[in-house]
Amino acid sequence: MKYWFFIVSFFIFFNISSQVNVGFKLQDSLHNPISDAYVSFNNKGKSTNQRGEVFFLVKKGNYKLSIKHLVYQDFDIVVSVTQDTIYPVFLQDKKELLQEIVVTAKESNNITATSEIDRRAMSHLQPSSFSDLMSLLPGNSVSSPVLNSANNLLIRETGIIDANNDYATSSLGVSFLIDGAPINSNANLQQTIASNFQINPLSFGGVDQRRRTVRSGVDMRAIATDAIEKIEVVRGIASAKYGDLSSGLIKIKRKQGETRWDSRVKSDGFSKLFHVGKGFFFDKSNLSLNFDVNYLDAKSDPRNQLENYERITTSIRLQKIFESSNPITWSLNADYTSTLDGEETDPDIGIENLDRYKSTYKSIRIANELNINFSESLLRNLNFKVSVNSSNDRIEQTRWQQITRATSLPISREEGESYGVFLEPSYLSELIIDGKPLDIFSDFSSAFAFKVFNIEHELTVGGNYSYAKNNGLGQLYDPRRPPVASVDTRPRAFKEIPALQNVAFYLEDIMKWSLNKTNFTFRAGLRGNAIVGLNDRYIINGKLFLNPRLNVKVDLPRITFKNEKSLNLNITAGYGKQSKLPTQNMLFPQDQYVDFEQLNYFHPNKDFRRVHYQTYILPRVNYDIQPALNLKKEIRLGVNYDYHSLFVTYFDESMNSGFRSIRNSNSLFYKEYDTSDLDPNMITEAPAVENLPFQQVEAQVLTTKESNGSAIDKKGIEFQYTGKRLEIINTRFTVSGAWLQTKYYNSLPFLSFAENRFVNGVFHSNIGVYKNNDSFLKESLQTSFTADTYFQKLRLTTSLRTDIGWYGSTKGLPRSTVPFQYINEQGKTLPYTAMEANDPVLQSLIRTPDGITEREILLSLQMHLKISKKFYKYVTISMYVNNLFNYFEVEDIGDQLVARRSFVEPYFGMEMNIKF
Amino acid sequence: MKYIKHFLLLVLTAVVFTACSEDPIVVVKTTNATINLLDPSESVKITEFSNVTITLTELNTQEKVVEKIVGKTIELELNQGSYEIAVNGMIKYDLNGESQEGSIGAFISELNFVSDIQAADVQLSLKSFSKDFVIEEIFFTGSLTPDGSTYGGDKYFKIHNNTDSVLYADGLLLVQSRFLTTDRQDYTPNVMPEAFTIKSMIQLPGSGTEYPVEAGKSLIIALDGINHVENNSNSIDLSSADFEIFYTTLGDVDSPAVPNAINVLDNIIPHSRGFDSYAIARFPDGVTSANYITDYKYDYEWLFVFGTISIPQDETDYKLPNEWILDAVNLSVESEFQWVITDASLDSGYTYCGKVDRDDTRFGKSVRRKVLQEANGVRLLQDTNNSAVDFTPEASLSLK
Repeated sequence: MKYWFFIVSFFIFFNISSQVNVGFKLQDSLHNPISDAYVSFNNKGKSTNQRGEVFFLVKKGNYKLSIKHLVYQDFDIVVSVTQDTIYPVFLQDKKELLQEIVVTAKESNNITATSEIDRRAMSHLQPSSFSDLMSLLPGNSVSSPVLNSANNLLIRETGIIDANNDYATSSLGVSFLIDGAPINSNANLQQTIASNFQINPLSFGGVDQRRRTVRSGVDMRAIATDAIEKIEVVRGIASAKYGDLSSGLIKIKRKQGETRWDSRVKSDGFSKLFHVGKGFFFDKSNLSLNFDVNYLDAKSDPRNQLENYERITTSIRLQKIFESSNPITWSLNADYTSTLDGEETDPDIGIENLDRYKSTYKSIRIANELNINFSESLLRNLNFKVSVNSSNDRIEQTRWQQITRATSLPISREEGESYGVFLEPSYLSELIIDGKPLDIFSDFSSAFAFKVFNIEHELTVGGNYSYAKNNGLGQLYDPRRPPVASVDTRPRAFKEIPALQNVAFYLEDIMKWSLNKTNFTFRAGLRGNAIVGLNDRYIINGKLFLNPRLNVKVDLPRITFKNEKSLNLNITAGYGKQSKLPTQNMLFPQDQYVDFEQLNYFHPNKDFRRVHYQTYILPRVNYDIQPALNLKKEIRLGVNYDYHSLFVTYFDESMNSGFRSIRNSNSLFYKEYDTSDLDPNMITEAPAVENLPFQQVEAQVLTTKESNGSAIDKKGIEFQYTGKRLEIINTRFTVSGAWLQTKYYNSLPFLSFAENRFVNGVFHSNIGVYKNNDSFLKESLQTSFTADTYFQKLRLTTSLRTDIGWYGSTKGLPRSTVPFQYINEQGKTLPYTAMEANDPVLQSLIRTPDGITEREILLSLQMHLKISKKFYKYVTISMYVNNLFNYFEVEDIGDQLVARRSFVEPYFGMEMNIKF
Repeated sequence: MKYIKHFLLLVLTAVVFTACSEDPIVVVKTTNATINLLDPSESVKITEFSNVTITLTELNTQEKVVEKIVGKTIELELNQGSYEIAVNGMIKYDLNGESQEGSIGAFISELNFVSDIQAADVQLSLKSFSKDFVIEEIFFTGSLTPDGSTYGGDKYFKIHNNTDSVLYADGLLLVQSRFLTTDRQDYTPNVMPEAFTIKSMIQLPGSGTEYPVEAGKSLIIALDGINHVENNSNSIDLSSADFEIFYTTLGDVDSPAVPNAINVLDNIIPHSRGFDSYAIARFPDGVTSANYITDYKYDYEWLFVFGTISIPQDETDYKLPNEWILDAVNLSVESEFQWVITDASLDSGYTYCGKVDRDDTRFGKSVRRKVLQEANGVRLLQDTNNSAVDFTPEASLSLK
């Protein structure tokens, strides 16, 4: 009785409740379930699971059902819901959509030269870090990952060996946006003292020198790729919404919304990678939650356990859509990234086991975005972003120092005279660089849409504010035990360095109109950047730097042929200025210490020894420093015909205000104490300078200061041809490449002492000022041919890529031998004429010429193979072989055939993806 | 009692007879003396006595016998007695297959001829071999510390007075070559037949007579005249070096107990793998360090070739005329050697520490000039202008 009553009330309850559970079961024509289809029902979007099923909880009524899938035709229908039901849905194959599968980069139809890389291309490439994806850009070849030195990005240039970071402004000027918020590296100060310290003798470059990115921007090793949905690489002129960049812009959009459990395990000759991620979508609250965990452990040489790179990244992303007449989207991202670079010596080879280097970065980033879309009014969009990034960076370096000669050392931290010390014969030098950069980024923008005189306008107005400060303890070491016997700095605390704040505003109007079936789009933008909060001595304090950014696109009328296929032609042209603001390290550089030895008395008896110095603290700051301005011009032709597309871009960029350290002259004086009156056998205590006669000596020294002294001019032609996937062989051919010509040179005069300063036994300090110092013209032509085949039924994708470097050339242009000015020993700058050239002392300022260097790189060809195959329902196994086949053109030197071989060896890797 | 008178008379008669005897006739005995003149040393073989005399002075009578020597054996008839023997003169001799000229001497303060036939050996010594200083030893490799790191502060040069009189070290020049013995290039113009191209030069201080060096004695020019054992227990104590090189800008230390050399040109830091060459010289009258710096520069060109790249190079350096050079030594290693960088008349070979580049066994060793003869505690060193035979390579340090 009670049982019956319970059942009845259950049914009554159930019927009274108006919520209905609706399910859809998607299958293809062969009754195979279709997973990962995007089903939109009642404006809620979800993906189907492994069984092709998806469920929605709705009130009774009529709703629109819309189904999309990569390989099947779209399905739209209106469904009437009255009760709990599961509807079977059969989707039709759409062969044409196979064309959508691209495993290389696509040139986008954007208004400026942009490469797009989607999730599918990323999976196929099997990358360890973001750097591997850059091989898809036109002009870049596939290369094995290098994980024991920093990976900086170069866009549209050949690159140059640059030990002094004179030309690093190019990579510094690439801005990386992750879900709209830039990675700000302006407060990164992690670098050691003494650059040439090497632990592993086989490595190229000093342990810290090749890992630091203080002047070169973002280290791409730290960006994991598994959470990324899509990447846009803007090689051309970026929209005015984006600033503090000079070369290019990378927009990274991460996965959002419901996804299956996704895991990846990758192993190759040098590294292991693990990844797990999942996206959840909570119906009731319209909330999506995505998280990703990624771990990478890499070694430069698998046999060498002593040098490694480790990366851990975790990300949690929330997105909530508030339902209202104007949908409000609120996103909250929390990311944790930890990287470790370590190198140490083999403990078994004796006392050198004490050499050790470890550089860690641990950063937490929280980004918040509020976006409101309006449908019909003048105001279309309001967007507000804030992101806060706090990082804990630390370099720990231990170095065993054995002096090679008795050495004296100044240790005073203040200007003035002081006694120094003599170095201990051997000691352990410990250095800690403790940095705590804090970056805050906020951006507010509003977009308006209206139509005036048949021209559609989309006007965006906005502004942003960034703050960068480093609260770290800075350089920590004992000045009596420095990492190198002669240092020109003293320990510096980072938290004393003022913050770097910049504000910007932007205005951008995208205008569209058509004329006689030709569509015109004109994007005119203006951005103003200013650095605020500085001491007024800086001329850039509060000064507004304007960047106009103009792009135009003309879509010519479509030409349709008898076979119903049409030819589309479009031309894009752009002109823009992009300014990269100086970093905190460039605005507040560390002072340089110059110590003059005034007395050196190394008596056989330790207690009687003395060394005395005059110390000067010379600032390296340049109050006239400006942002580095890159002027970009480009023109692009795009041709589209029946899924074939060809884009050819010609670009011309010039920047002559790139950042570098230049030399600065200083006139100083010191004393030379005379100990000839002291009898070393009779003294009873160490000599005191107060009791010694001295001579005043004038000296002129060269120190360094920050400047805008580097020029980089980039010219070139990029091309990207993506063919139609040929049905018969299911293969698509893609050809991309670039001809690049890059000129690197100094834009400010170079100062130097004479090569031989002793004239007539007297030591001279005249300084010559020379116009040309380092100047290189580099050129290269590269093409990549890719053939990728997608066997849908076998669920197998293969691609074979051939990279050909047709030629490369470097021409070193001669440096100036005769100065055009000189600075005399009193510090006065004077013109250098024929009269000076005949003076016996000043003629030593004429430098020997360095000759013209010309170097050619001959043809090289590499082939790379990638295969991935799906097994069962969940598992995909992929493998790749880079440099499967190599060919190098052989050159003739006299009677010997010498092949110029780079260190290219086949490079294997395998990975397994499990999605469940 | 009576008989005492007679006895005394008899004694007196006997005394008278015996007292007044005649002086005995001294029979002067002679010796057929054969004097063998011995070669100064095994490597020196006298070939000709150009102008040598032997003087024998009898110590008691001061009678002198002077003979001109024509051969290594002299037959003389001498009165027996004690003689002082002196030999002096010019000879020609053979050293390692090469004919040389020199002067020899010998002195024996007392030699007794007491038999009828007697032979005596007289050891000849070369009186002086050189006209001035020679480089005796170069320690350029530095030493290893107990933990295996390299230590280079203890390098030094040892200069030897290879003559028979006092020399003054004042104003002596020590130079380091610009070129390397491991890198042969075609330099145009090629001044090597007339001059030595140098990179650095130091000059010993002094007005002319402040730093005497006795015949057969040496002086040490150290990079740092300090006790290096403080910094490296495997090293040596150079705090009693005669001179040191102090170059103020490099954190170098200056010992007040050791006089500093004058830096004329650049700084001398020996190449620790032994790829360069050194010479000692003196300025002739009229040349000082001041006018040397202005007058002895020269420009030259060479072609830098690497694979298919050739880059012409223009350089300017200093040359030291060969006539000023007292002694030169080339250093190299067998595996890398390409050419000697002094004219062959100064030095035609090279010496070494280590047979291959970066030979780990080279540390703590030096190159030392061979001793030709040691006479009366005075050493005479061999100098045939060929370091390959004149020097002992990979020798242990003379100061250790």
